[in-house]
Amino acid sequence: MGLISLRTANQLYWLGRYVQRALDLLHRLYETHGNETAPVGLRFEEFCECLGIESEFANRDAFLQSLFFEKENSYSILFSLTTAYENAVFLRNTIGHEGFAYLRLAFNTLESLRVVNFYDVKPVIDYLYAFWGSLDECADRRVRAMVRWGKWVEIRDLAGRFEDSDDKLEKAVGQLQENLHVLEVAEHLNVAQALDREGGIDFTNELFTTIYRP
Amino acid sequence: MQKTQQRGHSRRGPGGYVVLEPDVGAGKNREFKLGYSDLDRLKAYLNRYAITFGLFQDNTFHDRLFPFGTVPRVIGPWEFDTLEKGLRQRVHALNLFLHDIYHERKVLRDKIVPEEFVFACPAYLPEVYGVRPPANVYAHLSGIDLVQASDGTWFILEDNLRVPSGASYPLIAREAYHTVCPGLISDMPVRESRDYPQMLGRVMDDVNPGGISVVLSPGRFNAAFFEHSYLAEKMGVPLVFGNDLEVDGEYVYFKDVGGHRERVGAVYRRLSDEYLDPMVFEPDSIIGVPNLMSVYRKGNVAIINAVGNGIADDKGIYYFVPALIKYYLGEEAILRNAPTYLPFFERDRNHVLQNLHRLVIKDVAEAGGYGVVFGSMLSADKRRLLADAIRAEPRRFIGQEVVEFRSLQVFDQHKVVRRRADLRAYVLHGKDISVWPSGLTRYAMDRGSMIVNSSQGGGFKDTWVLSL
Repeated sequence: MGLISLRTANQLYWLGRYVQRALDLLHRLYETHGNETAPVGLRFEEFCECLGIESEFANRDAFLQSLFFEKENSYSILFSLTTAYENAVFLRNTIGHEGFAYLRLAFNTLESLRVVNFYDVKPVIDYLYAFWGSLDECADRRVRAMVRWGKWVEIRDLAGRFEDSDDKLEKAVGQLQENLHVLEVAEHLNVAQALDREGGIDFTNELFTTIYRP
Repeated sequence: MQKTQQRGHSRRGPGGYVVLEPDVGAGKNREFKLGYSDLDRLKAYLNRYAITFGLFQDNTFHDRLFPFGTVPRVIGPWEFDTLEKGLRQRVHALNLFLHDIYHERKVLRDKIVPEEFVFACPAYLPEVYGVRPPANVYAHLSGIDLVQASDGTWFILEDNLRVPSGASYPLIAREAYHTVCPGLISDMPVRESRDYPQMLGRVMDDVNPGGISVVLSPGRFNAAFFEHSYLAEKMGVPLVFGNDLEVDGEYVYFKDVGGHRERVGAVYRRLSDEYLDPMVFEPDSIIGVPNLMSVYRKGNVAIINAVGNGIADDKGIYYFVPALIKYYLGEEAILRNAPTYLPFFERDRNHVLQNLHRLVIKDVAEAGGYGVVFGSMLSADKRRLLADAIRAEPRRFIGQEVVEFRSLQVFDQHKVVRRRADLRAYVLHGKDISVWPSGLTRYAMDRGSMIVNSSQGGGFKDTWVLSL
């Protein structure tokens, strides 16, 4: 089994979160605003409320433009992929250069777009799924568990924000618990404590309430 | 298919191709060629993996794609055989010189090299005097820069025994050729080069006194960070930054996130001596490992390349390398230096000052193509200022004859142009000394330019060594 430094573990965790944030939000945006019959669910003001951001957009198009491309919007797809890519640059040797390449392709494809067109964005989703697949093929199992830990924390976080079904929340918690079989609890704790120091949040408590919530 | 009118020429147009030089197919009555469409595919392949070489411009870091000249340089088997012998000989002598300088110093007593050239050199480190690195190897990985004159003669331009970069670029390029045009490589046939990470790994194992091997990088904003990461992946060793390691007592350890730690026996460091250990060198360094040198002095960790190697690749010492080969090995140098003059010696100084208009002057303290001045390109006033500087600090400069080195084919904007190119050959020294059968060919971006350095915007090519 490969060795992982605390720094690397931290970056793997955030890589998983940002890749999943981009993928999850792409799906949610498509479901709610991706075709003529949409919005079937949330209006854009409600979407913003779920994410906890100001809904000061003039109309739906301005909202979508921001959610896709605004670099300063920490919930935009471009922001998520930029941050994921920046982490991946550090992690190329750990996640494998094939996995890195898929992330780069996703990032480059999105960055080359100027206007929101859900058909043009499809390859971004394809590359992100290819990234997850490549990770399964190439990476060490502890590495996979670290990235997946970030992935399921993000899924659980967004599921909570968008008030998804209990089934989805339970699935996320179940996946987080499964990771504990691969990673020792001490590793989770070390990373969580490192994140606490860097992020100024009480992540250690969050970790345990996430995993051991009754 | 339309035949070319003359061997060695390229056909233009959408179905065009480049006939590889030298025209090794001539004797076999066939041409080895790369189609324009394959050249485009090769470039796209490397773009996919973000093969970058960072540049600092106006104090800002730009992580740019390293320009890839997709037409490979081809070296015939006999030619490489001579290069291989000459490079092994040179590195063998330089390794003995390093041991001597940091121990007995016979070379100084016998006046082969003037003392001033050693003790006045900032790269000489008294901190490692008397320190014997594991297996007594100093130059584990040397990057030797050569140029080939238009008459085919190879000249050594520079030795790099500190942190030579660049091998990963032809390495990943070779992966691209194997994917895009595998038939061409096997038909020619080209010697395998994709085992470079294993060669380097074996060197590290040879000198490792116990523990795991790691690649130590200064960080994301190093120009060659891609290389650090790629080599770590291919060698299957952790890529670490300074704060991932800690010294405890006699040993250095890698701190794993699980709370346990592993002893480290070999550090392939990609940072300069002065940043390695803030307790010994630059105290403000935050990218080094505190007390690493104390473990090194005890022989409990191998540092690759050894600390203090800079004295052997100093541009002033370069002048003496043929004499060092004779002194340590009793042999004539197989590969020639470019004709060089040392203003430190009065006779050479007079020659340099009288011929400033046609020589190239190099500042020995500079690297990466900086501090290189072509006398022919200076105004009369600037030439006078340079002459004054040489008179004031003769040890600081060397003068060299300008070698009109060979231009190679470069595929640019769907046409083939010619650009001057050098070759960085990689010599690995563990239990044995071997030369990697490839190398980094660097070419100048602009027509007529002789500055090929990656740090000044040059591009790179793969180097194909033929086996037959």
